[in-house]
Amino acid sequence: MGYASLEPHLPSSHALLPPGTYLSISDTQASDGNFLLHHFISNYIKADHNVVLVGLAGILVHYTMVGRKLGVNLTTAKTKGTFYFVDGLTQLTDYAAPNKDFLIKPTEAKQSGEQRPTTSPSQSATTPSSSTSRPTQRTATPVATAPTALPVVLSYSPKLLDFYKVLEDLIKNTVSKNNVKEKQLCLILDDLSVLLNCGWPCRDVMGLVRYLKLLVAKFNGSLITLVHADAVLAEEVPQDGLVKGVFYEADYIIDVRDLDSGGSRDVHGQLSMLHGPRYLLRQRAGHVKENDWPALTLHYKILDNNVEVFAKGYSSGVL
Amino acid sequence: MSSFKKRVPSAQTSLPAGCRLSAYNGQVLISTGIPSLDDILGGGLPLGTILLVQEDRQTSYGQLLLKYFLRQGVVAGDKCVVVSGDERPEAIMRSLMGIAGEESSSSQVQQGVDSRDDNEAKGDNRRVKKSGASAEDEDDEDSEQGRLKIAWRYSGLKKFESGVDGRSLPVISSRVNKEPSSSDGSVPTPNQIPFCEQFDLTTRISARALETADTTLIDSGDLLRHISVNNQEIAGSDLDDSENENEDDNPSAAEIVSNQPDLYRNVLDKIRETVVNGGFSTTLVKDPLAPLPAPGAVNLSGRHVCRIGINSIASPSWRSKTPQDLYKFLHALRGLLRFSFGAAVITIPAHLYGTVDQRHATDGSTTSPYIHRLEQLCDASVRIESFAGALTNASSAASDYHGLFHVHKVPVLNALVSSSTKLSVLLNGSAKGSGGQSGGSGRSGGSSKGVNNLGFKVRRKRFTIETFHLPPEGGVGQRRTSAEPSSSAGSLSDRKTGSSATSSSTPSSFSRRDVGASSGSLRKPLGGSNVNSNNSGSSSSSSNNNNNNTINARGKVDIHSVPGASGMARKMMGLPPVGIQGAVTSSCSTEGPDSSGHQHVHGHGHGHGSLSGKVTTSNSSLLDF
Repeated sequence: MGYASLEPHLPSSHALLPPGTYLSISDTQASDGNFLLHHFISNYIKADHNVVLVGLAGILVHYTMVGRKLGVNLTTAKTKGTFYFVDGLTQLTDYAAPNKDFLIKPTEAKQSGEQRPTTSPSQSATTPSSSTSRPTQRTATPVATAPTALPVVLSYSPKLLDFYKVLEDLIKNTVSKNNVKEKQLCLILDDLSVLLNCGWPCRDVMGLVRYLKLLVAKFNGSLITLVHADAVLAEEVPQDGLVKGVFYEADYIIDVRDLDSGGSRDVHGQLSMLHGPRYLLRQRAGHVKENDWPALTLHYKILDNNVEVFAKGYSSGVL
Repeated sequence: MSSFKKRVPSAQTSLPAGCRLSAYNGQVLISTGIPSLDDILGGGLPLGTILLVQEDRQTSYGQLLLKYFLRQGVVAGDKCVVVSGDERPEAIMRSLMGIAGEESSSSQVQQGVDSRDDNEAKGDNRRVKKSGASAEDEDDEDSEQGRLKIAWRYSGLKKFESGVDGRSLPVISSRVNKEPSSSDGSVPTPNQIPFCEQFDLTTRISARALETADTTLIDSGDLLRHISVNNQEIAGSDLDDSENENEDDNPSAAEIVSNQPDLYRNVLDKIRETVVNGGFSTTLVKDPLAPLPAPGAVNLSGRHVCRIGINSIASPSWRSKTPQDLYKFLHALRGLLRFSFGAAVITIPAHLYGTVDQRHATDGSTTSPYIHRLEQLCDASVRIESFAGALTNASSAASDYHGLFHVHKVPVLNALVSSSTKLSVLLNGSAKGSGGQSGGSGRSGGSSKGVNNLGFKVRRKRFTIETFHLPPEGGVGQRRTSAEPSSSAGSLSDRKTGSSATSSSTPSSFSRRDVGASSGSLRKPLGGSNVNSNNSGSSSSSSNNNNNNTINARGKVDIHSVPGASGMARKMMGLPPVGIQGAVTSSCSTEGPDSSGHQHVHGHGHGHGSLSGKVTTSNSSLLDF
């Protein structure tokens, strides 16, 4: 069940985020915030809710392997339809699509082969519709070797809106498929910084975040994103704008960074649980329970298959 | 048949040649050709990852790392893809080093450890010692520099190890035993191919090895020319005459962009072509919908690994269309490699992108935003800071090292913690004798904390990365004659300062003495406080240089700034660790009875003529703050 010691500090009802909220995680290079994502993934999967994971920096194997360590089988969840993975690593940019035809076209799925090398925006506009129609085709074809859910094929387009549309269709599809009302949805974007790095302007990325936030709120879900917020990068205007932007949009903020005093073997870094502006708005409106999310700073240590979170100075190496 | 099957001994046999499984997470690893770098990365470079090497300035150790990587690939029979723009890739391949003991293998075996270089000899000596052959030891130790022999009774003790012996890891197939068999000329079977070969920098790769090597060379310079010619043709046929465009004084920006060749993309396409056509991809050739084969589950012995070495990416000869080209390149390359039997080592002249601020260049805790974002897109990142190109005077502090080695990021794959946190000797420092709480800094990579400062040295047969430590005070042969800056207890030297100040009673130098004593006492609490403003740091270090020179001539001990070794220095001084802010400038000078010399030194050092104690006191204290 995720990390037991982190659980009490989260605003969770049964280890989940309140629906309709947005949690923004920021990390630095020396202290990777990825472990928090795994926490939420495993929590949602364990509670049998829907998870849509957009892996812009990692591949599915990575999440599956870590999930296994945390006691969650993402493969079965994928088969069951509660877990969706969008591969943003191999198919995100125009670089991913070769402009030469040396690739052996897969014989089974001609459609997907045709979809992949699209670079023109006109063609990519058709992608969402085709990707939504994919699952029906897949179930119709008896050749479907992989029992996996629909592989969402991203294709490059200069507009991030198309990326949003793909996600929107996917989420709508997910919710409609297992239309149990009490099921929650969790959309996780691993590493928004990749989008920025790959050339999309900060404004577009912020637009995407805002759209996705509204989208998941409609489906009783919550959004979790990760950005890199190194101090070195603060000099860059777009990067700084992104970090500040996601913080502005957020209900909850978890800031992961290494210790100010340097590295230590027993303390890998510190987590700052912060209130986002939206939280304060909701608080003012009286939607928030008392002590829902106490803002505090904790230390953590990453272990093989767990993360210890403890108050400052309560490291096992100290006590 | 029954479903019972005898389990095949291990996955080791089914791995591609020159690979091994990570002891931590079962990742398939390949060697970088350097045992200590393998150690840092957690046993080796995992397949499917990118290692970014930030080059040093003025020297080419960065390229040396790349060469080791490629050479190891040649040994293992891997596919080597060499991409280079500044240098011709053929030249890089031709200038690869040879295997140690290849040409004189028979004599090598007979002579045993003698012909090995000193560093290697240490490792072997320990083994030989146990077996009782000590005569060779003596010879070696005499020739060995930097090895302090105190008494015979200590020789049985374990040596303080600051580095990694390639052979000490049990996982690595020890080549020493196999050497006679492999050097007989018999073609080594894949199992015999060592995970990490030993190379000799004085020799070149043999022509036969070069012939048999499976290489793909991509000259990005040629490629660029090729593309731009093509582009011009296209532009000429499509739009206007190219001459017309040239005549046009200021063509629109969009036109320029569209005419710029997309070099990175073309390079990536070439790499992709090699990977796919060479059968290194795990997805693209086969049915893309088939589930991914778990590494190790399938029989991989027939497979080879694709090693991609990119020399000096983003150097001025690489032209990019948009600033995001390199980011996209790395992102896509990572996406490609994750699904293929390959790994990449990319060197980048990071100093070209460094900020003007000198602190950024010297202390290494910070890099430029551009490089930092590249590091986000790579799996591992190391930076080489050679003393030859360094602007600090650390080289005088540690003459056995050729430079510092900074680890910015280590691969974290399929796990929460990086495997080097678990396995690395160098990064953890716990396995070896160095203290637990080292003054780690923000630059420590991944989640492995408590990092030591690392230095590297290049020997004939070994590129070693070790825990950076300062030599014994004064060195072995030149003790008391040279004043190599080394760190001893700051308080001790301060005491000396005080005592010498009180004992000497030369009236002429009284004011100077006063200064010395007072500044000494002032310094005492600040012995290792490395918080220095940039200006005062540089100025005091320059003054220290002067001090150093003059005092050297007079044979006195002088403890001065040891940049980059602050954590170590602090530890030795018995002070609590502080995050490293920059180059330490903890200056304490021990004065001898020769007052005139001292006077000269101080006057010179602080840029004052000779005089007023009070002024100099405040001055020096300012410098120390």
